[in-house]
Amino acid sequence: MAVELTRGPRGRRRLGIDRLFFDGAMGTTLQRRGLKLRQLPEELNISAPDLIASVHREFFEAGCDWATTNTFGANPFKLEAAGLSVEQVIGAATRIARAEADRAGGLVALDIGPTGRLMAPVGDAGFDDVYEAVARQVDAGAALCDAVLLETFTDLAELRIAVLAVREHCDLPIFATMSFEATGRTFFGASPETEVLTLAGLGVAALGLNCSLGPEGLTPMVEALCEFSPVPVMVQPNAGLPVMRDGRARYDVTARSFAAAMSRFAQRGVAILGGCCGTTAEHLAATIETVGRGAVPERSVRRPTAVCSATRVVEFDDFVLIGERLNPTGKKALQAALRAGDMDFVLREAVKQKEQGAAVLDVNVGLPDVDEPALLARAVTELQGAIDLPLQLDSASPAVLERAAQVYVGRPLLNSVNGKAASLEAVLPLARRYGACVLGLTLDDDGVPATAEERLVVGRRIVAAAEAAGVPRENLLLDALTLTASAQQDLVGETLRAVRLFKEELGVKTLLGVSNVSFGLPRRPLLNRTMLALALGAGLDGAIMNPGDMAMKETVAAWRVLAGRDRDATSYIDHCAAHPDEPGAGTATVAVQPSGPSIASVDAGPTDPLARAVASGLKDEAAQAAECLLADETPPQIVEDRLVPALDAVGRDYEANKIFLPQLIKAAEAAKVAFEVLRAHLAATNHRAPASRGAVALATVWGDVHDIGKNIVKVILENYGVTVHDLGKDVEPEAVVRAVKASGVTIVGLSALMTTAVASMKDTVDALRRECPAVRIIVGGAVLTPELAKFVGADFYARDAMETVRLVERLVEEENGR
Amino acid sequence: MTCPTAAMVDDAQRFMGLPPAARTAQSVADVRAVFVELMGVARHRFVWQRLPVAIGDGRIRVADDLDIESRDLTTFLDGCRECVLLASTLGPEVDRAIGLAGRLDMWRGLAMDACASVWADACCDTAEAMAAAELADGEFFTARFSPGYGDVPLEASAGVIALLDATRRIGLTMTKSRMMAPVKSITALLGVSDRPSSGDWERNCAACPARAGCELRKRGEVCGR
Repeated sequence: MAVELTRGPRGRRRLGIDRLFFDGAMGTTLQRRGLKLRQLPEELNISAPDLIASVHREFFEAGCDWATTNTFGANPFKLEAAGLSVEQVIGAATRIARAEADRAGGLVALDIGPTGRLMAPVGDAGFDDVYEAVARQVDAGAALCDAVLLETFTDLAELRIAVLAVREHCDLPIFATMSFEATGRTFFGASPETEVLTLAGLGVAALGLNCSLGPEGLTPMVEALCEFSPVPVMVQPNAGLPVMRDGRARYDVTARSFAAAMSRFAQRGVAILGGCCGTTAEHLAATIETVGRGAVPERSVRRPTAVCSATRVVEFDDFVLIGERLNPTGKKALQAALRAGDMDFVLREAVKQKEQGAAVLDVNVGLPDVDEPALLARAVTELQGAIDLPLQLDSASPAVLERAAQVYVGRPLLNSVNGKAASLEAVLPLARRYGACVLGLTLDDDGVPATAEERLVVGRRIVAAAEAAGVPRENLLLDALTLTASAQQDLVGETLRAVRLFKEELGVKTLLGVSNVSFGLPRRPLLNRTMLALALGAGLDGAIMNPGDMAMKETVAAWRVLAGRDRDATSYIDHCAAHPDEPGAGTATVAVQPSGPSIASVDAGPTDPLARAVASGLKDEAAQAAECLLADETPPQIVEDRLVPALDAVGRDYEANKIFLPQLIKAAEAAKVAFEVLRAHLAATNHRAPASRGAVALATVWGDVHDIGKNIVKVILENYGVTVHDLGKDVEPEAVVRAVKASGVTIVGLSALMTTAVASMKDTVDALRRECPAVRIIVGGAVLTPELAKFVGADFYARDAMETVRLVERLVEEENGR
Repeated sequence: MTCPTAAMVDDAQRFMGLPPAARTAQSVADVRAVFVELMGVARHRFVWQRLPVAIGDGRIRVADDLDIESRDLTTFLDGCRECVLLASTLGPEVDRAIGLAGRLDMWRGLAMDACASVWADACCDTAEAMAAAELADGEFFTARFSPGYGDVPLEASAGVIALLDATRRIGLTMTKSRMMAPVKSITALLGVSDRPSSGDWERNCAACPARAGCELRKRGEVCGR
């Protein structure tokens, strides 16, 4: 793409074709001229405009094409503290830079750095916080600028929101750079590859790296960017790593050696060169002289079919296993969890699939009675906060896909588009807008075509429509669609031929869900894995399947040896060493070893195996004991006669100081696993779950992000059959009130660890008293004492989780008695 | 360091609320395993800087710029003309790992959180040792003093982070409610003194704001080492 910059010096400059030079450091230059360490450099746009103008002038005199406005930290969060407004500071800065640029015949980039706040779940900044801050900066400065520079980002999540905000608030080209450590990763684990895959698809005009290291240290990252980036590459290194001398950071790379390294980058194909911390007009003058003006050399760019999260790239160059378990169709436990908004269940399923070897996870939350757009977006955010696998966003509704793609960090795979005109028109623009890969199902208004050639016609139509919509071919994957052997036996071969034709004729990657093939026939796994083997032979690149299916995975492992993918059969031999037997070959079940002594000192130890497993905190044993009991007893019997007494014994031991918190929690986790076994049994047999023993809303109050204590209380309460509405941490008083009203609970538990959060706990109690006078409030947490509980106006103080359980039991009994 | 010391495993169990008598070979092994996992996730980053400090009436001023209102600090830094400001973090992945562990298994969440607190402290010791290696002959560090101790509020970390440019250099930030993110981070101040530290300060509960309700004190334990 050749972005023309008509206001440029010496006539027209074309981005990516003519080499362009940015300026050097603003911040460290101002520090050398007396800026105090904590002083905001942006303040000087107002108090010392001549000083800022002189810095721009020096860089223009050194030969730079661009001035970067002195607005790196001019966001509402940083300026607020200094009593300045974004509009005031950015207005002044852009006027200064524009005037100097016009005098020199140069260009101006509006500089926007990170907000300085961390994104949730680690920090407390949300999508809207970042988006609104950046939008405000763009609105304040775009009019006088020729481009927007987003620089020094380390969190890809924050940077992509910034890109969205810029492109939706002005038409200027966007240059985006990230700051890498010597490991080749940013603080948040982003790599040059994830940067390219994420940003290039969002339509940035150039991308690259800046800051942190000197030019030599950045070489591997520059190489990676030049290999992958379909848009021009920009590099702005520091003048070396900072060295502390006399209380100041000094940068030791000389102008000459800086210029020599930059010259190598230019030869490699870097289109935009400049400097970051410690670089002076001298560094830039030397660089411009050494590198010279002229044309950017052509790069050969690798354009793989690949998806990514913020930290992990999955290329479809070897077999890719896409985990299918996060799809509620036919899975009652997942359906119940999604309806209840139980994301812990979703996370557990995701982690299990990752451990089983899934490379990508399909995520589908489509149920008739849920708010699907909101739920899928929430699931995506929760999953991305916890695990690093790229996701396949799965919905029949384009609106749902759009909402999920908007919050997804990285390059997702959209599942799916098909050959129907309505689908092509709705889904392909989304893939284009968010730079996503998209899976095309080769069916159209007439259904699934019978022959491979007819499916190729549909595939060709999808490819053409994608390219016309601006989705490059490498971002498209096709599904040849598996039909059922019992019903349409002759069409199985057509699917396999279609896989081969898509690859040969269209040059696209192919996916299949293979398990449809075996419907209605006995021993389905045997047919499934044979179908997979045949499809692999036809050139299949990935399958949407259950990663827990060992036989299927072994088929892939064997195929990789036979197809020459697994050189010297290294992976296969490792796999066989870990799994010496054929799966399901009738090997004896390994007897469960009791691991370690019982931790609860129940007199003489309980004889009931379930009670013993719970008391000892052994999860596997608890699950197994529950399974065994189901042969003779109903789930409600097991709960009443065995689990509840076992938990009570553990609770009494805890209260008597015979066991301690970690042991109490271990027991609770073991009981939880047993409960899950019982719940799964109830779901499978269509029985209703046992009635809840009351409901509680729990929150860690605003101003406090420590939620371990609250989470412990939650686990123990749930064990006792109490329904818990977990409102999370750092919850504002109004949000607590809203949630209490919405759920109708009459008991609220508030937690705080920090002294500073006591005031906000009081605010929360006050708000609840005003808005929900009927609720009873229990408070607890490290900082709380009975006296402080009175001070904040709570009804009860609970010393720990067990005391909370006892209080809730009492309150629920009182309510039921009334 | 790639494996936790016995003292670190012991400290983590104490943070978890397991008194010495209840610690078993199994609990030690379980906590050690969590430690090893944590160390694989943590990326210790730190930044420090030696700066002049002036002791005023009820406040100190660092680098002729950052004022911290604190009687305790004026006593603590008595006789020091310079100090080292230090910021150290285990990085965002540790916060994520603790969160995920807690959602999959609360015991692992509790253990991971405790291990991370111990490891954050040990890493801060490493950073302190590197700063100490640059002291001249006859110079000594006082004990390490962090916001939250004594009468220094937690939000004083904001000034330390700003002075050290720690957001850009190690990714350490403050939330809107004035807490550090990532959570497993430490900011600290060490006086440069001409005599060795008496070492009394760490075990001094008298100045601790959590003194009244402290469960450890009731059991006869202390939180410092």
